[in-house]
Amino acid sequence: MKKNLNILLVEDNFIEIVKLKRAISHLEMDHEVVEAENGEIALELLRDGQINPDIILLDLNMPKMNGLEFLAIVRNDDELRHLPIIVLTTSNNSLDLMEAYKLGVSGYIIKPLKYDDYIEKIGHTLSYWSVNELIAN
Amino acid sequence: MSKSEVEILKEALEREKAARLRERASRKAAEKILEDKSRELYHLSNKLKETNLELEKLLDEKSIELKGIYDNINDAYVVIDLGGNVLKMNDMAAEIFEYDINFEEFNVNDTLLEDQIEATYESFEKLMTKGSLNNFESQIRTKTGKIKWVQINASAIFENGQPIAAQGIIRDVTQEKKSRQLLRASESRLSNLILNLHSGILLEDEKGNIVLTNNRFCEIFDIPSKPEELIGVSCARQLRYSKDIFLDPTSEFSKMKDLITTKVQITAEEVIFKDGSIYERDFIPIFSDGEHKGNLWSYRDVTLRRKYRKSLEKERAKYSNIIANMNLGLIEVDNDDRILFANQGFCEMSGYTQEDLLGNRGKDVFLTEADKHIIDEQNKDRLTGKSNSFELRVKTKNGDNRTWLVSGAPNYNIQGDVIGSIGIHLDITEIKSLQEQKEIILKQLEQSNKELHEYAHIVSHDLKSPLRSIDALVSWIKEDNKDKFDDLTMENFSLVEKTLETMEMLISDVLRYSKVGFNKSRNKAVNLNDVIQRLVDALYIPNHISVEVQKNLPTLRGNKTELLQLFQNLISNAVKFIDKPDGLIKIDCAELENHYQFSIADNGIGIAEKYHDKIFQIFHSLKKSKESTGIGLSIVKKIIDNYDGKIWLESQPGEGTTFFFTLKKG
Repeated sequence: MKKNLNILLVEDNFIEIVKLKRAISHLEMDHEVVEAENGEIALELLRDGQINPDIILLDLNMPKMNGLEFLAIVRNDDELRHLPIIVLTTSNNSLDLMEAYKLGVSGYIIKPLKYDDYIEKIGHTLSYWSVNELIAN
Repeated sequence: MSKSEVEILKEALEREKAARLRERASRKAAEKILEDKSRELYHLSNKLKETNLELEKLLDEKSIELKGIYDNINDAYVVIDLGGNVLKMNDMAAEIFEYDINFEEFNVNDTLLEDQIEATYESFEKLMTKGSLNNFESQIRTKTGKIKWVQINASAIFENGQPIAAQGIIRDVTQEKKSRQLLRASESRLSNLILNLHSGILLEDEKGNIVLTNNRFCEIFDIPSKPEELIGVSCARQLRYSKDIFLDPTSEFSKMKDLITTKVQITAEEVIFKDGSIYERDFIPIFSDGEHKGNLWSYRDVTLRRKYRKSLEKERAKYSNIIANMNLGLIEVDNDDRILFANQGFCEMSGYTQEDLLGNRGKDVFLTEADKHIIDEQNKDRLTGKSNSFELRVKTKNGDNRTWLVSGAPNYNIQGDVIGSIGIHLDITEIKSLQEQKEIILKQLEQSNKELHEYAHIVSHDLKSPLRSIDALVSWIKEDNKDKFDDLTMENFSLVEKTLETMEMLISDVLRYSKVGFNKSRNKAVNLNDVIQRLVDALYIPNHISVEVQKNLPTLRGNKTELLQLFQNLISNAVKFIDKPDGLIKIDCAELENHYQFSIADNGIGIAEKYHDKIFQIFHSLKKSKESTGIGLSIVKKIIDNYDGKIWLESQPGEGTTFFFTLKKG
């Protein structure tokens, strides 16, 4: 039984936001996407209780608070540390990869160049999470 | 009676009468002779009586004299009977034999040693027949068992022509004998010594003939004879054979002649031989009772000593010159750190003159307060014989702050006591500041390297993002306008997509190139067989191409990612350029002294020689295609550089290419 996920997308690039939404609709999935332009806004939304996502898709390169900083804060927040976070980034920098796993992420997906490849990766990822047992709700 | 009878009677009477007369006359003559003789006899007997008296007197005198001699004689005296029993002996004899006939029976046979018995009896026999025995020596055992050498002079005592006893004087010659033996031993040692002496010795008599010489002399003068064979030979003649041994034979000969003529002792006169060796000659004329008896010559080799001294002097001059002129400061201090000596270099370094320094403590003159303790600690070390190097911050005479590197060592006297220390000083102020600068620069470099690395990532991210967006946008336009665009437009869109791919690959390769060698540790054992296997499994290799690994590859110390990339780039390169229906890639390895040499050969299109260098330059691609960015071989070269290796190639255009490269053994 596949669940519909509440997804928080932390991403500053408008096209990337559209891309995810279009990909979900292209895949004919019914996941809910809430976007936050950067880590600060995302934290605000989470702490205010405005949103209660099942998973977070996190870009690393963002203005103000970047992805790794956001990750570190969430992992040290008793209320939030349980949230599965999947990094979705262009960076294949091994230092970033290492740092992300050290801080604790549930996945690390590199954005491919080709849109078709992107759809495939997103499809796999969301399918996987939609069959997981999740804590939110 | 007849007349005749009367006549006869008468005649007879007459004869009788005449006879009587003759008789009377002769009696008278005889009486006279007797009388004369008697008188003579009387005189004689008177004379005899006188002589007798005289003789008796003389005899008495002699007896008394002899008796005194025996009693007071310094030598031991014994009288024995024929059986050896001592009849008489004096105190000295008692002392020698330790027997005394005043207290005990004493037979000289008791003192005889086993092995002396026969010789002693023989001598005794001789004494009895000849009447005397001179200087007979024998060993005896005394009453207390001491073994002594005695010398015996003895005479036999006769009665009626038969020997009845013997008397003798005994001398204890044990010490004498011992000394004689010692003397003999030392004489033989001495002659041995002379024979083998390190100096050449020659003794000549007053006529110039050789009395004694030794082995060394024969060696020095290159005489093939033995020393004993030279005895009696004329020195002058012998010398003529050896004259070439001298550097200047003529002058040597005249010098020697002078010596013989003047007969004045000369010692340590220098004689130079032709072969460069130097000898010292002693000439000692020998006189006995003012009469010249000969000369003693001795030659000793002092070449080494001379040369040693000469080279020592030269060395000393050299070093003192160096010390005086060297740019290093040298000072000598006593145990109280007071300066005993400072060279020119030190004066220049410190700005002080010798006069300023001598007798003062170095630490008072130029040490900064903060570093005084260093000298105190170092001086303690010196006393225990330790030497080492340390840095000092000092103030020179004109107030400059300088840093000196000091190498200090204890100074010893001949007895081996520490009497201070010697320090060599080098002004390292400039070096020090350079070093500090270097450290700062290194830190900056590290920082900017890190920044550069980050920068490459950010740039690549920032450049890739728009590409991705364009690709997404193109896809959406295509998707949203399905069936609205003509074929040409669709083809152009796919060209846009391909261009995006090329651009993305370029960005990735630039990033990869910039990452080679950055923060890589290369100390893990990497089995290259595994590396190749992994690549063969993972790389896209078309079916018509086979990869052969010629032999077992080594395990290197390095970074697996780098080595994977190295082989990957070369193998995919080979794959890319194979144009034959049966492609073959051969991988081989040879072990060199410090490196492994690898080769990757293909039967592809080959590379013209003029490109052999260019292909390793960045962005230089021989084949413009979507897979070639021209960075692959540059990355290969950069990795090989990091392993102290080299890369080169051999190629036959149309037939194939072999890349060779070396990697340092880890």
